[in-house]
Amino acid sequence: MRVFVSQLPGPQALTERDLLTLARLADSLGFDGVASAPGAGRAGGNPHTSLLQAGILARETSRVKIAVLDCSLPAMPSPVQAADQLAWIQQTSHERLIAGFGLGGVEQYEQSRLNPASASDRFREALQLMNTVWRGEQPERFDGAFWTWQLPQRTALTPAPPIWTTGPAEKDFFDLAAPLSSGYVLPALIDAKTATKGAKGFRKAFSKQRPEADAPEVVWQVPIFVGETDESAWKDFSAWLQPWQQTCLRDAFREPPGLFSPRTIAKQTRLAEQSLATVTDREAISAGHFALVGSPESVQEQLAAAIDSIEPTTVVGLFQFGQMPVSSAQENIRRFAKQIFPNL
Amino acid sequence: MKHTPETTFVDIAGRKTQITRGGQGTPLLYLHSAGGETEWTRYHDLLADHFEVFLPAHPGFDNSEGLETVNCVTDYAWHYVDLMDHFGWDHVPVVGFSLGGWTGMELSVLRPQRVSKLVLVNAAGIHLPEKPMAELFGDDLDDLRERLYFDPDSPAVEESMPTTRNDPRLFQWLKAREATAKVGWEPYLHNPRLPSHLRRIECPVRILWGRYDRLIPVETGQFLAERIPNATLEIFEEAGHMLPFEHSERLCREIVQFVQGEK
Repeated sequence: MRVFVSQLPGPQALTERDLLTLARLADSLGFDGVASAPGAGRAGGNPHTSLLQAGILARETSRVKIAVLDCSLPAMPSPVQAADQLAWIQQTSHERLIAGFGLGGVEQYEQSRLNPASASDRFREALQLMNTVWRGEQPERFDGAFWTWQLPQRTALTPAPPIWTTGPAEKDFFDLAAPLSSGYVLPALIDAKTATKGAKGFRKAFSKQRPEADAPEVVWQVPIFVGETDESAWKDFSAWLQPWQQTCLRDAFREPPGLFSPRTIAKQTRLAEQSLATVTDREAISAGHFALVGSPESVQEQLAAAIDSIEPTTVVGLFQFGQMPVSSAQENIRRFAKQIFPNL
Repeated sequence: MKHTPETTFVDIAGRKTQITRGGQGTPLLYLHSAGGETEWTRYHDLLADHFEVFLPAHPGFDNSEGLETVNCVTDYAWHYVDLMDHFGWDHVPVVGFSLGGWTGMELSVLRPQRVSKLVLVNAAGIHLPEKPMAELFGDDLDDLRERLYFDPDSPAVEESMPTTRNDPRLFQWLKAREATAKVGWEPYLHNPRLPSHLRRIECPVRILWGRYDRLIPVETGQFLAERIPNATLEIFEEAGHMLPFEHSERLCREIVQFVQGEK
């Protein structure tokens, strides 16, 4: 099992330089990867900023995998340009890139006025177009419902990165994502029971739709904070959690109409009320493994229990969240690397 | 309720369409709003004292299918041309509320001779830059209630929309929201080409509007009254967007008088 380092900072919490500092630290401490989400830092959900981040991370790190998580594919103006940029990053990073795509969030649809009802079809077509150019099997012209493209080049834009997808742990998303990706990233902020159900659901959909393929990656995202003691860790975590919930997490489960089925949106609405976006009670957070908080021994114990249940292939630890300052995030990552990583 | 409505399904040009009908007399086609009032309400019952009310659910609403073949409200209007063919209607009165009013206008533009009279109740479909429509697609139910009703604490609210996240009507409401977004996300709840075609509406038109409609401002009703050749406007005081629920009796009286009247 691999461990990646990621972050979900609140407004003005970290600078772009801070994000690079954390990525370099993860690289030097032996983590398997670093992940960036479009909403992290000041990217504001712009998918092209995610690719820019990945390009810079390729330069700033030397060995870790670089995962761009939940980059909004339907919002990409040109999937061919994105495919070209991803192939370029993949080549210059010595094949360390993982391209993570999702359908995007409510703010993107409200701002762009892109109709969310068309998002799944755009997602499918964008990946089809990207795969076409990555494989170098270009027809002279690609005629889709959303994009048409003249393909003058006859050479493949290679190497192509592995594709992961992020979305709700629901059947309609699995049916969309399983044929198109080699990995599924569970949504952050959910409890381990929901994550376990989601992991099983994706594996089932994947094996049904792609019986010949290798088993998929299943990626579990979870906030992690390792303190000296349980009490000191919880004291700090609680202080960061509330403002994080009130600012960044309010809309975490809000979906625009048509992005997913009404049934899935109804479930997401209910899930929001039982997620880290709203739960504040220490016992509930611990019991549900919404976040792993405590002394090194406690965090290791919680991590082991959750892994037993979810069986992820990769854990993406959110080692910085909300208003946690960069110095605390660095200390958090160091403690995990020194006292927990060797025992995994 | 005095009437016993019947809900059936008919195939309209390949789309399974749910239709609830009740009452006797002249057929009256009622086109519902984005709220998806496809169940028989007190208001439909009052209309059924005078007409045989046909209440279809638009494709994608309630148990009607075929949303995947619909991309705009003009497609809904064509669906109702097909529905008129199905029932053999040459000339029927149409009542449209909000999204249904927009659909009714598009239908009257496409087939002017087949709509005998048109009633528009707080109709969507027109964008006035100086008085734009407010946001409908938010999911804060309290905000929405403030926007839709003159009195957000009135009993009409409970009758017509889910009030909490645990309300059993929430799923149907989300489904209605999905279908509305499919046809009205962008351009936002309007057809930019519609104003130039309003002159094609031939039948008498009665426009009914709530003075304090905070979703679609009353100026839209005034605009329609100026642009549609044979239209009159009646403004309801102490009313918001949800006229059929806020002023059921008076609204029905207005509709009956207009549809059964000489003009």
